[in-house]
Amino acid sequence: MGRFLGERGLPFSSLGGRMFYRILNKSIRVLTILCLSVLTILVPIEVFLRYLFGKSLYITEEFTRYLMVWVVFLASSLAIREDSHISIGIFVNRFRGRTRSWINLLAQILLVTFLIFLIIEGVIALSFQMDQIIPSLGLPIFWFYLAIPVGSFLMILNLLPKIWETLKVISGKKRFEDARSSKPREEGGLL
Amino acid sequence: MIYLFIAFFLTILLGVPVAFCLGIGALAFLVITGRESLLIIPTLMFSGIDSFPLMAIPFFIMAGDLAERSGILPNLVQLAKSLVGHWRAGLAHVSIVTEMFLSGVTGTAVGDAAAIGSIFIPSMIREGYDRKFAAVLTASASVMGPLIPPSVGMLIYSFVQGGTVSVAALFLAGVVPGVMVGLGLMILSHVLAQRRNYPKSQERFRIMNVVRTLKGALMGLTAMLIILGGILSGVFTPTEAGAAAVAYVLIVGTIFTRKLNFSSIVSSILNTAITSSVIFILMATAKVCAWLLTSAQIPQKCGNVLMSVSASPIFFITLVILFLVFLGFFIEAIAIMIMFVPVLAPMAGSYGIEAHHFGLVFVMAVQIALITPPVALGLFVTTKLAGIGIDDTWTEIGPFLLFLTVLTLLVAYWPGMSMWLPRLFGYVR
Repeated sequence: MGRFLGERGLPFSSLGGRMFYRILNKSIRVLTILCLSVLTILVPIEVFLRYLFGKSLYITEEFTRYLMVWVVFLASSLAIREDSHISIGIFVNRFRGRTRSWINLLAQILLVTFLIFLIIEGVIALSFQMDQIIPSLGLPIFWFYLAIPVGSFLMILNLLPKIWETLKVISGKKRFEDARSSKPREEGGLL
Repeated sequence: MIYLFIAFFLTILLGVPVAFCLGIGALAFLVITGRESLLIIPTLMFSGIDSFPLMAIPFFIMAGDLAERSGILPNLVQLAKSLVGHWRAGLAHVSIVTEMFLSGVTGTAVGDAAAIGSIFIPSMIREGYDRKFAAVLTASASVMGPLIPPSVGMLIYSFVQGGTVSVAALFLAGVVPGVMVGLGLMILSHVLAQRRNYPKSQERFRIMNVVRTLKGALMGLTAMLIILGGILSGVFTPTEAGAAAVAYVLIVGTIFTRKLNFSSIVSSILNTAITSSVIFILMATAKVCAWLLTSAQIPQKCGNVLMSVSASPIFFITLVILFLVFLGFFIEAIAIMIMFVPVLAPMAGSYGIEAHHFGLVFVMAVQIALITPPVALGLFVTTKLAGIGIDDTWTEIGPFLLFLTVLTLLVAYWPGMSMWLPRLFGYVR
């Protein structure tokens, strides 16, 4: 295992790797914030228009619903990065060090397997979606189903550095750290 | 179906996020039995997210988050202080009353625990209160967050249950129990304060003070009015009420209190996106599992087994409450709801328990998980603020846990106490 990791070519801790992830996650953040902002602006406008003038932006309901799918799948990959997804640690917290890392590795591999499955099935599902036009928008639903494979892919991307860390602990290159206690909080990291 | 459960529990034990455990469970079941096309997983996940009523969740999270950043809270604290600050252990009472007000704007407990805790825990410690008491009290008070409307917990319940219960009715049903949690905690603090000789404030009650602080708190109270009044009068659906609350808080925070600026709004939006995505992903995969469970008629089968033991609804609801409180020691509230509502809600139906009443009891019982260590999200926040470990609170939670459990049982045995309010407004027969 040690030789496999090698001294050279640490793709996730090298400068290029870090840059890649910094840019990637910043773009995801900007996109998420944009989508959610559009949602948050549209719905109150719709409410005011309806009650004050009896008019309705007929796209609001469908558009916001589908946009939320994008918000969820984009932000979900940020949640992976920050370890904010709800998990139950009561059993795994009993273990420390290398044993814990093996468990973590297994969990991460299972997660990646499921995400790969989601990408594959998501792409298959996409092929049926091009002809389904959302009436109020005139857009095929394809553009919103796309969130599933894209989001899953981004989740895998954000999982890779975590798997890398786990491998480093297993191979003895790094001391074990509890992910929960060193959880990165990047409030307002955009600005 | 056994494959689903094995895969689910194995992955849970390995620490895979619950949302993905549900997905992996469903996947394992479909791959092994080959009963349905695998395509139903992404399709059902999509349909589990794509719902307009569900959009109330991000809006209420955002309204609460913005409200805490917008400087409404200090005014609510002043109002609470003028009302109950002169009692023995006044600070404890003030924190409870403030949380009662705040609950009317926010829909989640953990955010409330952080907001209330960061204001009151340091000052309680300064005035000589026990650190454990300060942490446990503020965590218990945050139970009101999801009971007093708006409530993200109730929204989640109604969607996981299958969308046949009215969100407005659930919101209204939570009002009386929510206020009772507050009153009960005040009595409990009073008793503990007398026994431990917590300080009495020098301040006197003055009606002028109440009037003066009421004026300051008006902006916060208006947000409550928009949300609750809007839903009650039928002007708003819960989603629209959430959106209106966001718009209102944004206007107040940028124009009147001027506490909100571009960067705090942006970070609030990002926070909301991440928090809601965690909830939505859970709902998405839970939808897949719920669909599989229903099509295999698992809830009916479990119900039949339990029915053969006893057909008494009292027996069933007691069992459910104790079971949920027990689970709460190890699992977090939303996860419990996602996992058990699809099974337990249909069973409650076959026991003849009114759907909204059961929803209320369920949401209330899982909120107790906020204060039951080792896994207790409310305590997790407040003990950090109090500078103690979560395990230090074991000796202190006893009376609080007992009170909340007994109150939940009372709400369960006596539907009339809480359900008269939604009945009054014609939501429940």
